[in-house]
Amino acid sequence: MPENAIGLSFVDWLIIAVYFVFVIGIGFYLKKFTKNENDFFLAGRRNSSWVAGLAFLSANLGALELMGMTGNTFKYGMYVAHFYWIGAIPAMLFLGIYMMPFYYSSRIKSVPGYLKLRFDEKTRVLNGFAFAIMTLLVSGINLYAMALVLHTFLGWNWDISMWMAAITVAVYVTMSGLLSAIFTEIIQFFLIWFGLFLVSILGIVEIGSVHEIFARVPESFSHLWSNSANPTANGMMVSWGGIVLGLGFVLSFGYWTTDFLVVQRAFSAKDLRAARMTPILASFFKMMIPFIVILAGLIAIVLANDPNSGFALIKDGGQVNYDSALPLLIARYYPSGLTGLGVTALLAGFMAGQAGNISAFNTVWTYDIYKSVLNRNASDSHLLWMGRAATVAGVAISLVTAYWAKSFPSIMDYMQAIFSWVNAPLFATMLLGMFIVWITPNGAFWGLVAGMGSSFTLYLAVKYDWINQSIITMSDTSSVMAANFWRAWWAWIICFAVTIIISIFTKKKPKEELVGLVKGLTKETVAKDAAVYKKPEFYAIISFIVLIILNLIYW
Amino acid sequence: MKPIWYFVGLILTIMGGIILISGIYNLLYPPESKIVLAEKHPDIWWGAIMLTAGIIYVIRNRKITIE
Repeated sequence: MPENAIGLSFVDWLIIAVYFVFVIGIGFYLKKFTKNENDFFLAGRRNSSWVAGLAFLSANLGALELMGMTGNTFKYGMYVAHFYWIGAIPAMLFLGIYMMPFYYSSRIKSVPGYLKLRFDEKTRVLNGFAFAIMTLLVSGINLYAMALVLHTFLGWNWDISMWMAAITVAVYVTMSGLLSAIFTEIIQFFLIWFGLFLVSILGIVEIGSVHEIFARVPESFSHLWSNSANPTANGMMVSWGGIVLGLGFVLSFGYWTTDFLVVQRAFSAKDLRAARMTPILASFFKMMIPFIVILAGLIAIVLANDPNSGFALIKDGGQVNYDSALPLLIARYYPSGLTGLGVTALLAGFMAGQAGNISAFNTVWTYDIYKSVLNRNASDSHLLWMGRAATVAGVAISLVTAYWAKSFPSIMDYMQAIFSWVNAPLFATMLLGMFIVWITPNGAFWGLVAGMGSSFTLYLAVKYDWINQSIITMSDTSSVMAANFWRAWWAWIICFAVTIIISIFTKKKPKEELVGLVKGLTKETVAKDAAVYKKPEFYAIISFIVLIILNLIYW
Repeated sequence: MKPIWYFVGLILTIMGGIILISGIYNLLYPPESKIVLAEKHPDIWWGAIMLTAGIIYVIRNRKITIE
């Protein structure tokens, strides 16, 4: 067992066992309600906005994110809150208010399915393949990261950790698809709050108050905007331009409005209003996550700076392991029983993230690749079988990817590139496709190719010093994170420009084929006579006001 | 089908109950290795909060079924 490993008692193991028995039991229970492909791929389209909203949020709320963002707060300070506020909320509200009517009303089963209706088959297949590859890579790398965390902090065996998690996910997703994925994601949401928020509470109790925590972290780490004019004045070394354009606009909108992993949860809503409310309700909970991760990161900074606290992050070969902040706080404050709950919250985060990736993969594989390219006449029952087979195959490929990542750990460095490679350009395609009638199928296809290609090329060019990073960040001082923000912005601009230029010269789709898919050719969805408090727009405005208040408080 | 909230209630009840009992045991027989703020007994009150929340969810959803 590694020297830093957290010891688990019988009670801790009991809590972990309860979780495993519970999620597999839910898979068995839900199987009898999964009778057709609609149940398997869209959870029967019966979910309320609360269920879909919490699943929408939880699909993104993995353990890697919780540990990584707590560690990033230790590294960069309060600026990490931008990922949860400006880097998420405007995009989620935009999805609910403007984009969801096109997605939901066209009765598609996946985001690539929209590309088929709005543009053509080749654009759909291009995005389908890109998404499937990205999803399996991310799924495998997550599996590897989970095993790494469990080995480092709990001393668990690599192989047993990976196989146990993979088999559990395969069992319950194969039985009832998106339905069981959503159920376990909501359970994960509650376990994360009950399992990890107590770290922040006990940290505040130990240090004295939230005010005291802010008073004891470095000045450059305790603000959101007031030190953003000069990149050297803040912990992340990024200017407000990089935050607003790269993170707040392209990366955020690219992820939250087009990534099928999260959008699929909204497709499971029972009606259009519930689908529109899905990301809007999720936005309120998203804004609260910093009260777990950012606060825990700031508490770790205060304790690490206090020589009497006895708290220090783990060092691997002289390098600080920032991800160790959250597990070390759990070990510091949690007695037996609660330690099991904290570990279960992290495990649930890993496994729900895995299930989310696999349930999104099986849908895109079945509809956008298999039915679209390989077997156009497949029956509904055959597609249901294929969805289950794709689940098992997806988990198996994830395991192979996980072992590959274990032998080649620098693959983790490519994670961010993979996201900006697929999502940032796709957002330009979606934006143009949904709001401009004359954008053509060839414009969309070649714009996507140019955007994806340029994003990856820029990543390689900086990584291998073909060009200086300052060329894309427009600043002599910048962090890797700043480069990520700016690279996404340039990929979006290239996709946007190429799509428009090629659309000017290529054949347009007849307007009658675009009804319900493009603004201006779609009837208004706002129920004018509904009470104000029942309208999604009302809650979106409240959410936006809360966002502004939070930014002003921590300005 | 039982709503998801019923299952949320069940798991919070079971886990909260285990943590509360473990906390009472730790109060009666304090472990040798001390954690920071052990004197606050977070397992007792946090376990009780989880148990209460779980019971409320179970009771409110025990008779509800959704199509």
